[in-house]
Amino acid sequence: MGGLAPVTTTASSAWQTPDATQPQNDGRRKRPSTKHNAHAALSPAPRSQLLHSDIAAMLAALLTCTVGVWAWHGGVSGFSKGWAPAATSLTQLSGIAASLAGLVGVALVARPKSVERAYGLDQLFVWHRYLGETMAIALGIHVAAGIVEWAQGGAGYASSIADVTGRQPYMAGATVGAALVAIVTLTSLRSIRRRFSYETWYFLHLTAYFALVVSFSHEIVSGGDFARDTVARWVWIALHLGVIAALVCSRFTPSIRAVMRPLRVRSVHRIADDTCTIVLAGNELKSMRAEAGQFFMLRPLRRDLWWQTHPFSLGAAPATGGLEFSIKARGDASAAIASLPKGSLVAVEGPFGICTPEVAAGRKLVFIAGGIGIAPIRALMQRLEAGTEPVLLYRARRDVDLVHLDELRSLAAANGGRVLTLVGPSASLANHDPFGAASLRDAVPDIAERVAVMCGPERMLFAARRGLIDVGVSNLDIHYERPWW
Amino acid sequence: MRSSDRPASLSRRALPAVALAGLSGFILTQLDRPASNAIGTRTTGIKHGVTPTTANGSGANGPGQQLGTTIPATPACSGATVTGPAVDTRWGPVQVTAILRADGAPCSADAPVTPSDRNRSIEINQQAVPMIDQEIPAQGVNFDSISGATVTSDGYRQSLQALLDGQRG
Repeated sequence: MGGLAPVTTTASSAWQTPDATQPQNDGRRKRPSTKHNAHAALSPAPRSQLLHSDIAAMLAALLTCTVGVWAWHGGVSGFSKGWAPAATSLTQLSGIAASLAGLVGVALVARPKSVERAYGLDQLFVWHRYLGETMAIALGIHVAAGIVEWAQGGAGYASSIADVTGRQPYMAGATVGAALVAIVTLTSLRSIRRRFSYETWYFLHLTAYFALVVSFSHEIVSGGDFARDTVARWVWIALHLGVIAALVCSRFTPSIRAVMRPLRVRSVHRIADDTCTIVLAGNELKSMRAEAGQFFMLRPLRRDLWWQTHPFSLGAAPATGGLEFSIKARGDASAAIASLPKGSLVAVEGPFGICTPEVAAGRKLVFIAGGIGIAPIRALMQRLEAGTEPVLLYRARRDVDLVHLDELRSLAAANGGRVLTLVGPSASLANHDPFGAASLRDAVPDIAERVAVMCGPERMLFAARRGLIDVGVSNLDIHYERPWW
Repeated sequence: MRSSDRPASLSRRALPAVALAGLSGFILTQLDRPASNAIGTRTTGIKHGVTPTTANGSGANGPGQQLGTTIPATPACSGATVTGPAVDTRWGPVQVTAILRADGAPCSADAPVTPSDRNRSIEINQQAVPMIDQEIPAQGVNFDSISGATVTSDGYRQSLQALLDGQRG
């Protein structure tokens, strides 16, 4: 039993029904949340038409145009002809693999809308990370095999390294590109990444574009498959142009459009000592589409903040009257956004995310929220359909962090559900896993039949996911956005 | 909210990345020194095989066999074309043909036979051989090896040396 947990009613369960008389910080009963009912709900963005098979077909085409070309040019047979041809083949293959991983990785963070709508932005970033790691490993192999291959010419390793790092044409660019990729990869390792502020890391990460550009020429001048095969070379160039086009269309244009059509801060309400709800409104809202459970990138258009964007989940179901965000001051940026004066311009880009009311698919729901992760859960609960009988497991560090509790309780009750809370620092709960299978089953006896929707800190998400799978919830019925930054 | 912390400025956050990009650009310019006798430096207008030839061969292009030779013959350099032995290098045979001056030194040479089993060899030799050819009139058999094509350079030298030895002997 958690040491700091409030008095419990059942000895076996960590989760409890919050006391109705418990003082809550959102005690202002006349909170403006009901105001949204006066406005029309925003219409949801259209579903993506993209199928898994489309993705598979695109990847197959990509591999055919690259690795296939390598094999066609005799890349495979190189491995059976001794060390030197094997080194050549390996250099070419690893080079193609590294470039391809880099290209697809960049295409993913271009956030092509159809892919984002099908898989979610967080999933795109997860893939981006895998591809980045793949690229770094392939590039390491490429460099090592390239030096070995060159040294087979008989000039010795010292001379060969001098050759491939600059004495050969366009290789200086490739060398600098590889070094930048190494730096970008290292600074993205979690242990190192933590030492930087998000923006410092992000700007460093952008130098990867520079790396891709400066290493391109050596690919088509020295890369055997592209230097000699005109068709392959043009396909390769076209691939790069396609990725640039995707960046311009899906990444830069929406950002510019968001800046051109900003919303204004209509109101800010403090709901806890460090938590605010902020409502953004404007005429542009009428042309926007969004659903409960989605999130936006906010860019305050102020002299000292315009260069940062931060993701925030909608804290209430989106309506033409305004977009509400619940913001907890956890760092410089969220504190700055929470303290924006009324009328400030904020560029709003999105929506992103696929954790929408649709995931319920007519079944019963269990929500798991940690801290300010309640924001999208509240939005979703405002859009519940009958028969979902939602149970909300609301985890927080302090009592005052349980925000919107009264509203959540009535939203749950209206659909035949209930709210359970658990308060206290994680350390004090160390010998009792609140997301263990036993605790979850105690709290929600029919949890195995429910669809789970979660939002909260990463550690909580992973603990809860493990517990849910242990009690028999299918992986496909567990929905959450991974915090990727 | 920590009011004492002023939000970080763009310049401070972007500085590491800008410095890294600048440093990269500088290193790039410093590294980018293609050697004048490295393959891939297309500084000369030499085109392999377009100059009128004194000796000619034609036919199928088999590895290590065909003598499709195209030695530049100029008024200053004319005479009988001599063919050296095919020298086996680790990548395949190299065979040189040359036109000799009266004193026995080569005034023009070419290697119509070079290793062609590997695409990489073809690529290297297409660039390296004309560069060696160009060195011959001035430097003869002691031409500078081509960086990145040392095997071909060595084979070329051996074949040419054997050719010269054969003429003398």
